[in-house]
Amino acid sequence: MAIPKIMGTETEYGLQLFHPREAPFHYPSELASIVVDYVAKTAGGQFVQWAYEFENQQDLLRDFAGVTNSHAHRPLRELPPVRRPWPSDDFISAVRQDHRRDVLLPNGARAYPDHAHPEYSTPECMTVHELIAQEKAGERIMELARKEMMRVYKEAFVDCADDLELLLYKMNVDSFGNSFGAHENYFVDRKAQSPLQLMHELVPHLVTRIIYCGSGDIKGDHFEISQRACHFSELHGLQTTHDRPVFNTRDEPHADAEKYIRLHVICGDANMSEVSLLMKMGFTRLVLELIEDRVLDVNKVALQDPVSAFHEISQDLELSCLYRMADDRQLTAINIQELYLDAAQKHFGSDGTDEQKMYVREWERALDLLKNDRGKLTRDVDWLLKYDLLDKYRARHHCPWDAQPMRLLALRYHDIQESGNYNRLVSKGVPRRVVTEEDIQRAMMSPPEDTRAYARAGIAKRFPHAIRCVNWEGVVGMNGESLLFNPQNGTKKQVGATLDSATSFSQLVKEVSS
Amino acid sequence: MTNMKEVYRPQVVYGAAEQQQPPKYGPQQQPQPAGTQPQPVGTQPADQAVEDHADASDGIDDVLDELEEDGIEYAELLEKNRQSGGQ
Repeated sequence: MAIPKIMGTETEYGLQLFHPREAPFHYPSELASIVVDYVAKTAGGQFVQWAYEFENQQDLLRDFAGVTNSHAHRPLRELPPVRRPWPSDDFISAVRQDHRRDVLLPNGARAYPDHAHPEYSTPECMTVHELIAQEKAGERIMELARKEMMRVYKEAFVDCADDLELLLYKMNVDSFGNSFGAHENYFVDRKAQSPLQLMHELVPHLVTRIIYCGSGDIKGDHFEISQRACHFSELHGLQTTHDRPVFNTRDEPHADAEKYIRLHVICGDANMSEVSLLMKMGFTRLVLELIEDRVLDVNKVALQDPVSAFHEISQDLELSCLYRMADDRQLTAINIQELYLDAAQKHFGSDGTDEQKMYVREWERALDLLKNDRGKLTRDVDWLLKYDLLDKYRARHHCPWDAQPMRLLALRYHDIQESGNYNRLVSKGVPRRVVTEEDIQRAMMSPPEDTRAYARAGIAKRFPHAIRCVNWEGVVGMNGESLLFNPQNGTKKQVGATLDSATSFSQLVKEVSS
Repeated sequence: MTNMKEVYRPQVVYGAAEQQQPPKYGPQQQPQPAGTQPQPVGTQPADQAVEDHADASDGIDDVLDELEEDGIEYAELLEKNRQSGGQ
């Protein structure tokens, strides 16, 4: 039986600063860091020391490839379970020089500058609906920070205020050929399936799912379905910033390493569309449950060359190209998705939860419409919506795909301001919504109640001065006492009353531990 | 018209988090559709037109109208953009 699929996402935002001479110059990483400062200021965030020292990384396929990553060191289970040392001064100093500023937000999310990008990581969520609300909350939080930063800067530099502008984009690429991440995380049962089998059964899904969750982009002189696909060149690997692998083998569970794998999916596009988000994460969740329940036949779904197929599917706007399977069959991307759907229909059709059945219905609808009437999916799928927007502009102005106005129009689809092109479409009621504005507003201030994010956010709110350091797994107090939670622990039901009644963090630790 | 070159010293912040290697497979490599005539995405035969799609289409037209009516001068934005080295 598959374990509950607790999930989260990490989104790096692109930055663009229009900068008059009179205003201060910022290096990219410095600018990302300043944006995070404004996130803390405007969203009620709290600067924390992030306990990187607790985070241990290994290669998920180490037992199969015989290769251990050079950065890998102690597995988490060898660390003391409760008390851990405070990071050394040298470590802290190195972190600060790297403009590291970690902000814990009231919803249990984390914001920090990841080199040249401000990154927003959602809290752990039990449902895709909650995760979408939390991811959209990240867009609103970033936009509030941007607005406040510009207000302050424009007041400080009145003479050149009109020429000063900062834009934030939720996307994956820039015009220099760089790509940055929109990663997904899913907790998987370590004992349910071997990592090698997990990879073989999941990868065909990852390379074909872009047909409903690609964000679309102009590449060279033509439009492609996915922003990220062409940036991947390997089947598997530990790395995320070069020679990117479709299946990332980073084994860093942020939980009990004997029980959990935190599957780190790095090959997805950043989505503006809530329905694309639902399909990306909801259907991937189902596939992982199928894999854990061992009902998927890898021989049916295995592709001969998944990496090449990933690139080619991204260029196959008609979704009609055939891709060679491991057993020499030739199937379209839709056909391959149908194999997964068929397994899901059989497995969840009668015994699934309401949520699983809902994803199955959405999956059936999406594949049917992609095959027979894709116009009906325009409101749901980022790449189709963006394609129509650009195509109409192209028809009006008779310009080629690689014309600069087309590129600008595509870029501003991801601008998170209300005036960004996707948000303009929302104001016209074009994209189908999954969550309400009330859901998003609530998610900006409140953690999910059914994961450990609740405890993390609650401790930060009740005892802000008692925290020495934090990471995804737990909180360490000033006296060295700590609380560690597996993802499904620390919920409102489990710790809510104790959190409310405890008068100190030490007391909370005692009561929760007992 | 203001000379943007004089006014701006734009600083674009770009993907240092993940420095990009040139893609192995360039986007120029267009796969051939297997046995079907290419048809532009989003254009459907009239008898397949549906209300949902009509709404989406109208909404997209509205947004394009709005962008142009709001006086967004693409040339100006593009000039800023070009000088910033951005997209």
